[in-house]
Amino acid sequence: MNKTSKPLRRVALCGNPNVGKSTVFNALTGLRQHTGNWTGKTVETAQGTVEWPEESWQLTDLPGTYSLLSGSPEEEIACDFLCFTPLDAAIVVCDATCLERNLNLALQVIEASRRAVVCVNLMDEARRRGVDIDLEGLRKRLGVPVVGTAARDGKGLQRLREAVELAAGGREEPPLRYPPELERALELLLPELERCLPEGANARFAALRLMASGERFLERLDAPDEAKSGLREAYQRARESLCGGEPPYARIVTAGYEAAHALCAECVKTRSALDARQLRLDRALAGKWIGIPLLLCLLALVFYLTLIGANAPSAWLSALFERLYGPLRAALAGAPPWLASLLMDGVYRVTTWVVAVMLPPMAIFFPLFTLLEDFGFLPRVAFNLDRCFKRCDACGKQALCMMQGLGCNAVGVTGCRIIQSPRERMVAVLTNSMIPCNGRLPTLITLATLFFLGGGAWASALSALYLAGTLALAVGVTLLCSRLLTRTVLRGMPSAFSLELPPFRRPHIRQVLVRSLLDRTLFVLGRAATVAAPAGLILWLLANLRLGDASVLSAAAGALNPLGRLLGMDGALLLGFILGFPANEIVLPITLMIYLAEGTLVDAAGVTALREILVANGWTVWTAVCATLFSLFHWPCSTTLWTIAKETKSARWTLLAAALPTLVGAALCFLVECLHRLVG
Amino acid sequence: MAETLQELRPGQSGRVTGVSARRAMGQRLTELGFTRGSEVRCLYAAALGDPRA
Repeated sequence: MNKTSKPLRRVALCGNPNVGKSTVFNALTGLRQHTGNWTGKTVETAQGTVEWPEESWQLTDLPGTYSLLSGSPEEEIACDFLCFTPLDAAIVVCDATCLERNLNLALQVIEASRRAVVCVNLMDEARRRGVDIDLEGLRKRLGVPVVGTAARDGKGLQRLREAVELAAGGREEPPLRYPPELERALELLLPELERCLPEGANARFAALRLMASGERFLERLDAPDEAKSGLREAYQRARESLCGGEPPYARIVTAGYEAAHALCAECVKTRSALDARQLRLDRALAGKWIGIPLLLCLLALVFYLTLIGANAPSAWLSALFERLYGPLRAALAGAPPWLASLLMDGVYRVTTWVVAVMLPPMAIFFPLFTLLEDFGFLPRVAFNLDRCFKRCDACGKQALCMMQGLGCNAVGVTGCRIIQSPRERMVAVLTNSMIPCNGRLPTLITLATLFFLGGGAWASALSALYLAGTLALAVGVTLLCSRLLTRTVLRGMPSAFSLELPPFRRPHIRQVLVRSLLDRTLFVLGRAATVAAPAGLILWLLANLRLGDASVLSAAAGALNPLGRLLGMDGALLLGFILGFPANEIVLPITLMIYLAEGTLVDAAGVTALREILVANGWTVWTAVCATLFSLFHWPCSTTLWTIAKETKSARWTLLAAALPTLVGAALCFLVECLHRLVG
Repeated sequence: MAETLQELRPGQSGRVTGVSARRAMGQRLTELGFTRGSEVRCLYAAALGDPRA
């Protein structure tokens, strides 16, 4: 067998947050990776393979950082990778529209790696805004290959490959001479460093790291003790030689920015200082009377589109699965009847229910959300709402996690990673499930339509407004709970809030929609398989196994009645919530199943006299109110709880995440029930 | 004349003379380019007055 092996290069990708680094990564590897238009989105390292005709790359996408020297976890990851992994090239991705700030990092990367390629991305944006960049001039002055790209459209990637090949040769000279005192200090450190570092390591950059982080760097350095103590002494002398004034870190970065400024003065020509249109839009969005109302209107619009858009596909999917039921059942004719029933009435029914109910709204909500994200709208929301959150000692970025939680709480919890402070992140994670997700919307709407709103021509519009109202309630309770948490178990100072407001970008609508649609579909189907199918199995068992003369299900409902009534509901509904732990969509169907003593899930939409059935089982408007409140505030669903466990890596906090909304919901329901008994 | 970044009103510009903020915030400001000698301008404030861009 004739195998031609292509040479394999190891390449790293680094850059400031929000420069399109992930877009470059995706364009090169073809791998799917979630790209958002706001900072902090890519926090983990990702790997991929790039197949060229001439060679292959093993590409590592490093976390977005503003510098390599300030010592935050992302920067340490990026810095360690660049220093200690044998690399063939390091590509620094820069944003052509704000090159000056990006060049600071570029200079550091060139210093660290000596095999760097500067990739100036978003050239199309720059051109549109009248920014002209002299790439050749930059190349001459930086001494490394400089390539212009527009990764969104796939332009410039071939030149990038050629540049990487060129860069593999390496360069000897450091890109930047620091002020004399700093250079002298670095000289003091070099001999000791060379004793501590492995053969061939970049001692000059290590010296810079040492000056910047001091003790922290010394601690993390892996070297014999006497070599380290020699180094420590040299470091003390170096620091003293700088005789006070600015700390070394600030001096290094200042020198970097001055060099970047000089480079841009020569190589970048801007026709307009700051894009006037962008600024006008930003000022308008931050306006006192516009900012927040606009956000609410947009949300209501997204809700509305999700509702009307999801109705038809949901019905269609339900009908489809119903049609398939017959033939599938027939195919199982050979199996024992109990098995056929278990598989069809249990597993199949629940799984198809979850898919039919969840897939359409998610397939509409998330693409819309991603469009807003890509456009650049979401960071402005965090910006506008930060003050509210600061009053609760939480972070404005929590608003963004809450919005994601609207689609799916599990996604919202993962999204909390954009909050840097661990304390504030925990607050966001614990309160996220108090925002109703797509799965709870059908329950909320059904209850509302039956007991509060009535049907009629304006049903969808009214429902959208009603949902916006319940959302406002959920947000209010979330803020209160955040405040409660930060005054008790999560006490601490609010962290300083710095948020990058990326420029407004026209989203690539088709790309976003297609990718988001695929992502969501896979997610829902995956969840159906792992969560809904087993739930269906258990449900069938409970409904069809007999305890005495009633099914286990009925018996359990009866046992829960006292507690249920205390909370303004009843045993069946409470059991519905409990068994709805795997997936919130099945709460009402389970409740109906119990009422009608059926062996399988009952379709709420298909039941003509739904209201009558509920009323016959003791429901009143008050019951509907409590059901709505409990639907908003109860334990997170299994997928969300699992995600919380993975994110917090702590059983204690996960338990609190389950207990907090439950206690809130129970308390509210209890209060309403007390009110009911007083009044009624 | 503003003494700190917080006192800068929308529309005002200034020159950075030093960064005295606590560790994390100070480093963040520095690495974003708020270095000694650089010019900064306050563009606008959020809907509720705080924070500022």
